[in-house]
Amino acid sequence: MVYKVYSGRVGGVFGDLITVEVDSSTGLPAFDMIGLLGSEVKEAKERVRVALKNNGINLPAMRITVNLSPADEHKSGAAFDLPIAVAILGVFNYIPLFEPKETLVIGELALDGQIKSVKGIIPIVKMAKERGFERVLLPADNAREGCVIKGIDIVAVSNLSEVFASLAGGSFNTFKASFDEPVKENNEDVPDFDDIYGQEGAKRAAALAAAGFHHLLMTGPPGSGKSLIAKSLPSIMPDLTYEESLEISSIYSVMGLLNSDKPFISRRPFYSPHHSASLQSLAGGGPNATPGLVSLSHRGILFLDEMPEFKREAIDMLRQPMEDGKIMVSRARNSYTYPAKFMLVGAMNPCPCGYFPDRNRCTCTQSQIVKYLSKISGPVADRIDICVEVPRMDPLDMNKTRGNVTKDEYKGRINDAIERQRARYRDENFKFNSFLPSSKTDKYIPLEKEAKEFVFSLYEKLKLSTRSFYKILKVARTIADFEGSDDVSKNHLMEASLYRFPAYVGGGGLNV
Amino acid sequence: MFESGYDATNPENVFFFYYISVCGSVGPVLYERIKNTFRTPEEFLSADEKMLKNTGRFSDKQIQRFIDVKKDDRIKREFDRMNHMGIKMIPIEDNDYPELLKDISDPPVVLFVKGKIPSKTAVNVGVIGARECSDYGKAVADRLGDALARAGVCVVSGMARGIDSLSQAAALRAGGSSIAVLGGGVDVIYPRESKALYYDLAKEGTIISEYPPGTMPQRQFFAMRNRIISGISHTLAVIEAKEKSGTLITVDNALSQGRDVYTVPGRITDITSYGTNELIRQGAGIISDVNAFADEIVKRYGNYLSCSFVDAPNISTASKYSDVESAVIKNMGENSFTTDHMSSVIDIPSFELLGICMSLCEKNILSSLGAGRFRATARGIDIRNDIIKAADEKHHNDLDW
Repeated sequence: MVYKVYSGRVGGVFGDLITVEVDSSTGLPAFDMIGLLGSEVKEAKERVRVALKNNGINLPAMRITVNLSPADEHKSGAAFDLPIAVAILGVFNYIPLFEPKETLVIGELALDGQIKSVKGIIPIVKMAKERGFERVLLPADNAREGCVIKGIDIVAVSNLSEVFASLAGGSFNTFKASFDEPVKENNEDVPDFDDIYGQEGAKRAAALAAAGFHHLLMTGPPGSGKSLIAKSLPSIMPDLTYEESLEISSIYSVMGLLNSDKPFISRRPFYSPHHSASLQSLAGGGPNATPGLVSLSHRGILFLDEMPEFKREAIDMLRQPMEDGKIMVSRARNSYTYPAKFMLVGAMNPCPCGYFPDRNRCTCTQSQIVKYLSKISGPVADRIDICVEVPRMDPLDMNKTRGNVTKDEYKGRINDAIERQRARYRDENFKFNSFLPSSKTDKYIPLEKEAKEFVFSLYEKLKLSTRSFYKILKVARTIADFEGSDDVSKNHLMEASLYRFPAYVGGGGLNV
Repeated sequence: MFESGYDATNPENVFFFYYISVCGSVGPVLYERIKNTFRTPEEFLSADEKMLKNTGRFSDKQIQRFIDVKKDDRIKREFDRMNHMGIKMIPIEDNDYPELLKDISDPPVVLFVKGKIPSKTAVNVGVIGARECSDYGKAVADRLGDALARAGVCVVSGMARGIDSLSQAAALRAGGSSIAVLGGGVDVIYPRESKALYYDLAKEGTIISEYPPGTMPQRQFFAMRNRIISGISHTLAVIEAKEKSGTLITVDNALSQGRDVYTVPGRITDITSYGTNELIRQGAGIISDVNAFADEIVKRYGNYLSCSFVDAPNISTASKYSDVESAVIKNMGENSFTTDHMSSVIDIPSFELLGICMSLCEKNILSSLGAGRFRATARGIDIRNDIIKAADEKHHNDLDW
């Protein structure tokens, strides 16, 4: 006789359905597990047998075969302990009232029958909901995480006897937890945008980047405030929507970074890896092709301080995610695509000593500067939409905060700009100007005659590449949104052109 | 010269000079000795080791070198290749050889030339300065090159990065002529970043060297080439120099060759102006206005030149610009700046300045460099000076009143 219980596992950031089949037949007593299992899955047979015994259920002396299908895909993790135990209960007819087709079961067993938390709950619950399951039986510690997905019952269980009682009786206690919508961010420990004195020009550029989700590069001498601007950017970024939160939470769930205290990511991720970061830590990898920092900072900020100090291959790897908003991580067994729509914020000195182009203070030779700047390869530089210089301020001038735009003003304008973009791109699969494909610029960025002539004269005069040309158009669109204007005017285009890369970055001439 | 005299149409004559320049270290003294020993170039070229020894006028080392080069059959091929590439040779006996250069203590025996043959009548001004120059130096190099070219003066320099290449490029852009003196063969582009300038010079100007084509530039060659820069120039203009720099070596050469040296003053706190200010202290001439300097040079040396065709600077009035625009114009210098810099100088918030700077870009007073940085154009600096002058006059008048 065969008994089937459904469970799930995570592939990338998506859940896959796994069927746990158990058969008992006469013959020499044995407990076999098959289905391309990792060693931790094979060990489940001891955990299940002992846990059942400790809860008063001794397995009869029969030949028990457990199969996890699809059988050609490698399975890992301890989350199949509970479904195997349930299937064994089923095959020996302990739970006749239980209808396995309606319930997805997941959880790890301890020897005494306690049920422990597992990774990747959100994607699995999401998959269960999409496949029409009525409820998910999961560890109590994961319950709040599971409740993030609406429209499916979550049954939290903490030990095997509870499961047994519930299944034998055929009734479930649904766990309830609700989340605010939209999600309020908790930004208390984020440096405040208002704390930056002076640097209005740089602050504006950073705010524009946030308004259109453009990648941003700040150059400037040491101690001028590049890092502070980057770190305080989250304080003016718009609150996460529920959908955004869910996307981020899925990735965190896969990495096992959620718990009952923090079942849901409610603030924009901000990652600032040290420049010794390896390629794998940024891109993702490891034996199971797990997500890297580019995915963990999805919908948030990936801040690379001292960008030229990073390994060149690490920076070059960013090209695909910067362009496509996702990254494909391939390993021997698996190949997964993870979302990676992060906003890259880079900070760099313009030369090894940091003072170029101020020749009075800069002690670097020309070749040193060229070598330093060439670490940001042209293709990466080409994908950064906004580049701004953060100049060194005289301490005396810093107290002049004249005309300071406050944080709330910035935040308000950014929110408005994002609303405008959302309305404009409601029929598209992207939401921000930075993701606007060049084929659709004509549709969404119509230009008046004067503006059109101006932008073409820019193209000629600045000898722009085609990509840089579209970059200026997209940034101009964001500036117009930021200013609350429906049309992109000549002034918007001109300001956008100011944020292009200076010739001395990216291997251009140094005689600027 | 040899008894037979120099004849540019005689290939043997030409080859002789190529040969001795390949031998290297043949300076005017050794050349004189060869000349006095043999009757014709052919005789020297056909002399074998024994004959050379018998003359008793050459050291063993020199003879060894002559013989080694003679044995090497590549030299003929290289000679043909040079002719094929259109590189010309001007031996010291040639009529085209610059008169000025003949007067220095150790003139090169041969000059290799790519591009136009240097004019005998032109006034040459050597423009030299720091490779790692400031924005101020760049701006002055640009204007000086331009002013000299407009006055019909030929700009001589070394095509190095920084002041050298900027002044030469400006001269060519203004339609003038320019001579680059290289520290390697004239077919070796050094430094690489001057590639564009090199091709422009090959077309519109002149590239010269005392080293045969194919010679790679070497450190010690640069000091030697500097003596040629000052040697073919009537006057030397130094734009920026640090305390210890190669530029100052050229200045020493120029002084020992009896050339006038002019410098561009800088602020005493700028390390790129230490050298030039020190030269002023020692009595160098001062360039306070590039056009006046160009005029002065033409008046002093330009016997053959018609009067200069310097454009009068555009007289523009301050009234054309709004108050805030004038404030920005008045406060901009040669150094590039961002709106945040400017905002700390004049009390106008950055985001307003952004718009003002953009409109000034349109009026060709500022140019945008990217990353939010601006720099005043040459025209912008002229206008700034006009505005400041007008303001001063008004101030004076007010006081008189």
